[in-house]
Amino acid sequence: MVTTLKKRTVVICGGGFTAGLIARQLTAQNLDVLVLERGGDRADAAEAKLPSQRDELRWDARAGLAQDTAVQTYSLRHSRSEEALPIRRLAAFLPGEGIGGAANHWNGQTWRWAEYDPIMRTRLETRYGKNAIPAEMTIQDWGVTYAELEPYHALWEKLFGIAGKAGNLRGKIQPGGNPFEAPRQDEYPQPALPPTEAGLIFTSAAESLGYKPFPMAAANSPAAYANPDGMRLGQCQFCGHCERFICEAKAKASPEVLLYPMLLKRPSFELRTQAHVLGVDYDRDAKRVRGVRYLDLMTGEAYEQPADIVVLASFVMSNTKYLLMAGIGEPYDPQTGAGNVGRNFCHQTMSGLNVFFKDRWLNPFLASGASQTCIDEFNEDNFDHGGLGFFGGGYIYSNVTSGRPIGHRLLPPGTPSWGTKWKQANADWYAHSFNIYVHGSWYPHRENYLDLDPTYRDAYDQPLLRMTFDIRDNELRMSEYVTKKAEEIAKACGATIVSPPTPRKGPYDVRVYQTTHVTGGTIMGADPATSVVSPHLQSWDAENLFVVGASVYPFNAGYNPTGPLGALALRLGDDLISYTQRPRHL
Amino acid sequence: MRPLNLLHVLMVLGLVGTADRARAQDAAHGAKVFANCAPCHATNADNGAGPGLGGLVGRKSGSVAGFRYSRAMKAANIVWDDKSLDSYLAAPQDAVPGNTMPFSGIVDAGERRDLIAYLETLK
Repeated sequence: MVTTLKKRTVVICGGGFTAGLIARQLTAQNLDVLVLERGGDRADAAEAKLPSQRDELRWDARAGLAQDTAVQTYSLRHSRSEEALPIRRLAAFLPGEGIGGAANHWNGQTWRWAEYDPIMRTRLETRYGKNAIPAEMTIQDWGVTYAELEPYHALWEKLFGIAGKAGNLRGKIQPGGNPFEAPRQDEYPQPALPPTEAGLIFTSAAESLGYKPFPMAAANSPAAYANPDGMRLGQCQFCGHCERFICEAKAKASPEVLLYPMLLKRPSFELRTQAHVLGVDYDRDAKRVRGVRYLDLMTGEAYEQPADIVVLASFVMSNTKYLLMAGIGEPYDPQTGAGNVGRNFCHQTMSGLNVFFKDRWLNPFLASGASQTCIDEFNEDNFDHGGLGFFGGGYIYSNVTSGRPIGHRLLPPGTPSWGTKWKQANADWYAHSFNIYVHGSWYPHRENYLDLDPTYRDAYDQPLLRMTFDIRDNELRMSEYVTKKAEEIAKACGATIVSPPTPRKGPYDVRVYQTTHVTGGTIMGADPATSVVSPHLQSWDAENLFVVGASVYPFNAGYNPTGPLGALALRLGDDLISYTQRPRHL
Repeated sequence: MRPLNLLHVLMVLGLVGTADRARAQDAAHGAKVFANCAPCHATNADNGAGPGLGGLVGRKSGSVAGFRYSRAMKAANIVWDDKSLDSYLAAPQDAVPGNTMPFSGIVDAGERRDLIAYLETLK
């Protein structure tokens, strides 16, 4: 029995970061918004309170805030000739579940991408020639410019109380900031977090090589902060439990602190939790969607929820899967290159090495998720790629986010993996080591894509989303090159021991955490022939369907994805206000 | 740290203001210091991430109905007054070891005094 409910104006699938921002814009105009979220509300639950919040085994090692793979997972194969197998344990990336989504367990590392990122293909062709981009690298422009997004970046940073040091104010490079930063109109809403001891060591090493180190912009609040909506952040306690945890001090800017408590008080907003969206109802002839079908996970009842407008705001994989299952747009075919849904799936290319100091105390437990010191000289197209044989790059940073007892074990090369000597090495080096890391880009490859698995199905009897995915030559070469730069900095640190660099190697390994930043599948663009949604995130194949999230990124930068996502979501909120007034192709 | 202003110097020297006027002045600044507490604590009886602080002064520790306190706070047996609040706010973990308020304390004694003056206004 399926119950058909009353039609709503805007129905958003997924109650995470982007849904909260879109709903903020819409409900401020008193427009009717319904959010359907498969998980629950964790804001004041045990996972957000001491002492349970510190349970590293539960929330970190067992990824307790992430999607439950016994219910829903993905399958992976490295090439089209292999049979894909289901991923039984999520490790490489961690889709969120519950109000706030993956943004309640983020680290708070915040970037605006480079000014040229939205026009990356044009940039590379202009700088290196029309034929420089290999045919299999299907990188393309977003169809929107940084200048159009800039006001939304600024608004989002105010809402989330981002702490940082401007590197480029209205085109003027600022000392102490990132000289490669896209131009900003104003300073960050809060001053940068204080550097860690590791950051100070990194700074002097990087400066000795002529680089310009700067503090990473952070969503970990350095002080009590009230945003323009009157929503508040507490002060960061530098406890080192950001990523994979909900901040118990309400000091990490997250949707469940800054957005949903406010939205729930607004009369035109409704949130249904434990509401798992099964699919989108598509009227192919009218090129419109009628609404969505969902399951109430508390009762097992199925519902049809008609809507004037549907927004897909779930994780990258789910957004893609909804389109594939409803037959909205043509599925991507890697053999012919035709079709777009599932295309340009990317991850990020992480690598690094460790440095050990006999006589310096680094106290890694005193940290926040974004208390990092970085250099941006070797990110993306901030350096000349002429003759290098690859595109892309990454920022290099002193990576101290936590010193948690299970996960944080930096040991010198040659340490036995168990026994007395292993214990002694832990005691000797725990407080005296840190990691220098490369947060690298991942550009699309013709053979990396998402589709529906023909064999394996989830708990709702729907096909798993299948990843056909591997790390390709471009990323292998990039990682080799930039990790070498990280090694040069490591050697300039004055360390007692420098571990050998570990550039990323193939095959793609789902057992090792990289970042939760997977992208693509429903990519944006100005040309319907090569994109799934328009620059306004409107489906080319269903006028009243919008898709938002990192699934719309045509490629993955060397930067963390949250900043542009905040900007795109706020802009979509404003676009939807306009669309409700006059429905049309925006 | 908040710089001393002339008014404060004069107050300390007893050259200006009555106790009541000084308190009103302090509580207004205390309301600003309270921004550190506001993400978790309401100024009325509502419980959020922390217990509601309406009627805090004069109350026994760990006594708000419906709030789930740590074992340490339940066993603390403190009556919240100027003195006990001052030592708790200076270093929460020293005053009530094992309590679960995720806040490291307010170092400046003047800020604490103003905050307590403000907390006294919460009924």
